[in-house]
Amino acid sequence: MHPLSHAIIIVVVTFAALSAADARAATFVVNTTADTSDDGECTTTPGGCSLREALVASNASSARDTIAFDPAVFPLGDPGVISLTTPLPLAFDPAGANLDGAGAGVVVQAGAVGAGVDGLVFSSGGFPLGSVRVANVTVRDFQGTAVVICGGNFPACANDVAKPVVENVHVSDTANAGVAIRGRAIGKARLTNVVASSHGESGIALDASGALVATRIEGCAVRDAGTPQNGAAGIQLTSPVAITGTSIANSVGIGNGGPAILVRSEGTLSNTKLTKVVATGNDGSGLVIGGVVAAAGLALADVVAVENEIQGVALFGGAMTGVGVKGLVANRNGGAGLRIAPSATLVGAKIADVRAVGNAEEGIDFLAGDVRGVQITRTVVAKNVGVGVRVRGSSNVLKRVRADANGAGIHLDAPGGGNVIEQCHAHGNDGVVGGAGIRVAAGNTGNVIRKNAAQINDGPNLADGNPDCAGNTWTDNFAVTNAACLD
Amino acid sequence: MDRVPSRSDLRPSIRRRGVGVMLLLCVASGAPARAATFTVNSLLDTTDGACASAAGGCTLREAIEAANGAAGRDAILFDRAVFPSAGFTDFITVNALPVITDPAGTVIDGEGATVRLNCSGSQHCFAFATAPGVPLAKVTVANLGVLNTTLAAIDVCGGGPPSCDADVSDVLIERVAVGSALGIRVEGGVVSKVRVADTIVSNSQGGIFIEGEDALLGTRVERSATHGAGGIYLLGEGGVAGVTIEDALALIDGIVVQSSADLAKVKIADATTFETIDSGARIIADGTTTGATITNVVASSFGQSGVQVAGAVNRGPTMRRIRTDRGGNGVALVGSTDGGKFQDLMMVVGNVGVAFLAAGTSVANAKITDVVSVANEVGVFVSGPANKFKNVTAVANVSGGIGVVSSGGGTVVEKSRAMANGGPGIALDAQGAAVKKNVALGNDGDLSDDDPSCGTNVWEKNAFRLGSAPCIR
Repeated sequence: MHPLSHAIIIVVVTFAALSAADARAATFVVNTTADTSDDGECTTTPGGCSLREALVASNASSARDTIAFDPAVFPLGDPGVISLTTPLPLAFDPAGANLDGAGAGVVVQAGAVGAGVDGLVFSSGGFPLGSVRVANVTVRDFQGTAVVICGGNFPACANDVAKPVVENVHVSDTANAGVAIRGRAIGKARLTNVVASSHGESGIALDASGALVATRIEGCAVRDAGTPQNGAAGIQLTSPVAITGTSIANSVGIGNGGPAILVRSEGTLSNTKLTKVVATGNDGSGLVIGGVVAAAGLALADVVAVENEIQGVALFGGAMTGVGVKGLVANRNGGAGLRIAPSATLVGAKIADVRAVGNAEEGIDFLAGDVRGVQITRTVVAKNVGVGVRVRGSSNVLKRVRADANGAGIHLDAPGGGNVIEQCHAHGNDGVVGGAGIRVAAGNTGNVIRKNAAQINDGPNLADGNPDCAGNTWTDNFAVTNAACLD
Repeated sequence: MDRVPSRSDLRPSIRRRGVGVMLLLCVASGAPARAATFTVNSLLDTTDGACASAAGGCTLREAIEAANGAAGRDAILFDRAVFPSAGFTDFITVNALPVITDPAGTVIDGEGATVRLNCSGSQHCFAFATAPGVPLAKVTVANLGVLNTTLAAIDVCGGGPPSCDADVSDVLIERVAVGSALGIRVEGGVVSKVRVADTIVSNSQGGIFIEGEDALLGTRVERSATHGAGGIYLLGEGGVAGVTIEDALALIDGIVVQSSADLAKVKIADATTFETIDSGARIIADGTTTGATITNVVASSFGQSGVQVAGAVNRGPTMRRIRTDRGGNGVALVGSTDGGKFQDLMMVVGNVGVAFLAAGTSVANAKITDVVSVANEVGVFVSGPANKFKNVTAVANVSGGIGVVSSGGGTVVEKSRAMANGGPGIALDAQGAAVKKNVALGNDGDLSDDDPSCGTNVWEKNAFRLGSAPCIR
């Protein structure tokens, strides 16, 4: 069975089980900030239910219970603080749980608990875990992870996780992660409006040992997570098998030890979409996204990646198909603005309206692999130390690209052929990589280069590495050239 | 080419000049019938007083002399056999060329050839100038490269220097490369219908400079770039209308459209600026700006504002799809602003000032939507009544996320996010405002109302932890 099919079945079965269980669910209302368990019960008398007691009561109830908070004790705007004296008990109901501070102000802090202790931990004791929801709370200062959602026994987390939800949650100042969701297959995770700051590891981590399916991250901000030593990403999604159906939108990663966002499958990656994401000041790249075996359906829209230590955006895969990058701004990164690195093939990418300016390497670069059918349009690459746009392969089209003041302008590297460069500008390129305006490497033939303008470059404005431009057609270009076959 | 703006675009004094321009165009339209074509067929810089068709019989200098001696809008072209289009890299070295003086205009076009001039440190390569008070029309310079001048490589001066105060119209500069020079200058009284396209000014101490001392009308710069000081600078001292800068790149100095009086229908679109000493892209007027539009602009590393609209009064400015990073104010409005749409703005990292600045008297009735401010000094700050904020995201700004000051009513902040800011997430110093369905988490104070009782402000359905008053919900 395909691993994704397995994951989807698990999600559906778990959801069905939960629907039945919800009918028996109870609500426990925490009405004290004290971290006590005086009678072991969660009662409605004032001070009669601590968070600890609510968790114990919920564990004793075989349903997806709700833990709520009394606004009189936890006032909105002036939150009640639960400072732990000992680690909280694990929540271990396979039906899941709903811990929700809606209408209240709730802070759970580590207090006296020490090294390696996590904050809120939801597990399922050898069964799949369904429908955990953590909402409207702040969890902070733990030496472990602030919020853990773990399919199966903790800490192995070897079972599936379905529909975990984390929303309106603030996690901060932990030695490990901010929010961690771990399991075999993880399906339909929803993280909305999560703020994670100052973590030793990732701010938000979804770590599946099976497939990671239909994750949605919306409106999250992660800053100062991970150390440069461990290189953890601000938001990190990993699977050794497959990642599919990921959506990350309106989110920010800043100042993290690794990339702002890492989505990495050791197998396949499919249907991944990032929209309106900002990655800045990270010690790694801004975004690193790919599947080692294959990456298909990878769409980036309106991403801003500036001042990151390595690449602005790095996309990788074995066989890559259906890549789309639109409206990317990748400026002043330590590596390339946009680097796409297929280890085998890349077919049919569309790159439009990209600005990559002032990067320490290339503006847009296709590294290795057989690249075919790429369209780069309405794009500006300028002041990059390396080549403005470097493409290798065949049947690629560059149209209305401006590559000015880079180390070199536009390069078609070999092998390849049948590419088209038209209506592009390449002026004032002057760097150590030759400073050519538009260059076609030897061995790349059958290309059409027309209606471009290339002026005032330190190297040749137009250059063809093939003797007498053999097989390449240069026409109607506005340039000063040193070979008759260039026009 | 843009139309010449309608009378309704202009102040009365400028309208009168505009009518004059139209009359001039009618007169000039009869000139081409008398025009001659002179073809340069020599690489030398000599003159025997005649431009002859015999091989080597016409230098550029002789062609200019001949054009000056002939009435009508003459054309100076280049012999493709002498200046082949490919495989030819020679410069023509010329000393100071004659000023081109025909008020009917002149065409200098290297189409089909490779023409590069080293102007030997003279003031200009091509200087177009008329007698004092005589308008200049229909200058075209196309398909050539020029370098090595001490002033503007291409200089179009209505009425002659130094005043350049006669009208200039219908100027086309297209597919021109300027290097190691002071760029391109067009200057006159009323300057209208100037088009600069597919032009590069590189390694230069000057950019593209177009000035109408009385007015600048119907001018367009497109698909062009400046790599040196000067940037793209369009100025109308008596007013500006119908100006568009599109698909431009400016390095070192940015893009400015400026009026010392009023300004209408000015658009900067699809532009990129980088490491600009001052601002990235600006539309500024001492008087009123009407319909100023900046769209799809990326400004990275700038000294003052990434993009800016500034006027004593700004009527209905539009900023859309703006990206700024590292500089002063990411997006700035200066002056008293009424109306306007500010949509899809992303201002990131290190703006030392306020990311979205509304300085001056106030901004009123503006729609501010889909705005992102990350790691600036302040995220979004607006002063004035009845502004609508929707889907604004402010993250990790040093002093605060979203700040609104308004003595009037009608402010709405909804469905926005303020996260991990060093000051308040959303802060009001206002009356009659509605703040609803927002998320403010991890800030140094999530929601704040300057009035402990919230006055007439309504806070509801917000997700937050820390609020300055119990009335905040």
